[in-house]
Amino acid sequence: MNKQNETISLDRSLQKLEYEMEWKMERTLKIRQRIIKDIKKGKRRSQLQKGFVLFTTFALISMFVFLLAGQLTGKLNTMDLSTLPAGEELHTIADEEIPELQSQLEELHQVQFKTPSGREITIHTQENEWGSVDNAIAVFMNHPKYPSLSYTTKEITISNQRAVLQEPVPDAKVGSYKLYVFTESYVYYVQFVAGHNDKGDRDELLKIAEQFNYENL
Amino acid sequence: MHDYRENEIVEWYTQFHQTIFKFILLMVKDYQQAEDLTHETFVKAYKYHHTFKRDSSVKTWLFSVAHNVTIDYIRKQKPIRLFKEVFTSKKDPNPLPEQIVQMKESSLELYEALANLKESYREVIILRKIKGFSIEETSKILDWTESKVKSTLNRALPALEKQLSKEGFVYEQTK
Repeated sequence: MNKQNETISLDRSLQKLEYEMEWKMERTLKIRQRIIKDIKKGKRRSQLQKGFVLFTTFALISMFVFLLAGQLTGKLNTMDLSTLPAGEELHTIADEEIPELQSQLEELHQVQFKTPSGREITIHTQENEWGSVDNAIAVFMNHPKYPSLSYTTKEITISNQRAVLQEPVPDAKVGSYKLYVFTESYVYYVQFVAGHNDKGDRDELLKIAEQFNYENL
Repeated sequence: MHDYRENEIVEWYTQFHQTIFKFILLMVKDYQQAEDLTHETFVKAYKYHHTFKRDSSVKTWLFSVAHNVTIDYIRKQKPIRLFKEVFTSKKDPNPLPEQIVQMKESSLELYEALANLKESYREVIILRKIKGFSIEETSKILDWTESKVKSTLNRALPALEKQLSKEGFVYEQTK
């Protein structure tokens, strides 16, 4: 047999090989069933994975919303401001006596809410740029020689911190009760939003201010 | 509930299971493994169905999946096979039990000769000469260049002839 014939013959033998081999029908059906079963298993696994991802995402979002809601309407007896440096949001407010909290973060470092008496209080922070509590108090107290005619000031202690209470004079038509709480680093402004002929409630202001924890600032 | 991918895979299995199985069997020469790898080929085809861009025929794509599955298996098996060859002298006595595959006696010699060729020679002969894929299709399946397909086939055929003559293979008579 010459080379060309040999090649043709080999080609034929190879083609024959394809047709002379046969995978048994019952075996092919078994594998078919296995494939379908495994595809279904894979689908279930993938659905479970998708479900898990969805559930986790939902849980995380819910937790975030819950925490946010808790921060805005949470009932906390003591508010810890130690982690809130000036320039950041004051998140937590209010105990049970302040159920209707309408926090309006008008500025990054400011929060506003309603008190049980229906008035509005704002709280914001500022760095103590006067260097010490003493210096800051000296600035916030009425000048000894030239005091304001519309309000008086006195030093008090709030939540173990030195503070200055500013009270409108009795016949003042504008102005409201204001409280300044000092630490070495920050000054906390707690004050009623002034309304016409309404100075706010001194006791309510002090009670709210007492709820904060100003330590370690 | 069936999705269209599942339906398509089942349909492709119906059309191509024989040819895919035979390709794998000729590559691995182990009927049980060939069944497992055929199964794996179609499960992988389902999993990677979205990567099939329809720029080749379904058959070509399925063969490329089968090729990858088979090559992965062969590469994983190499160290094990080497270990077996070193420590055991016995060969698998009958790789083709009749309850799984039927093969005519006349093709057994060719089957054995193919199995003794190196992997790249074996696959290019199977695809080009047994399965009848074009050079372009073969290059897609193997992820080779067309010139590599041609040159490898040119070396593979003489190697097969040599192997057959060693075994005293009787060629088909040409008219």
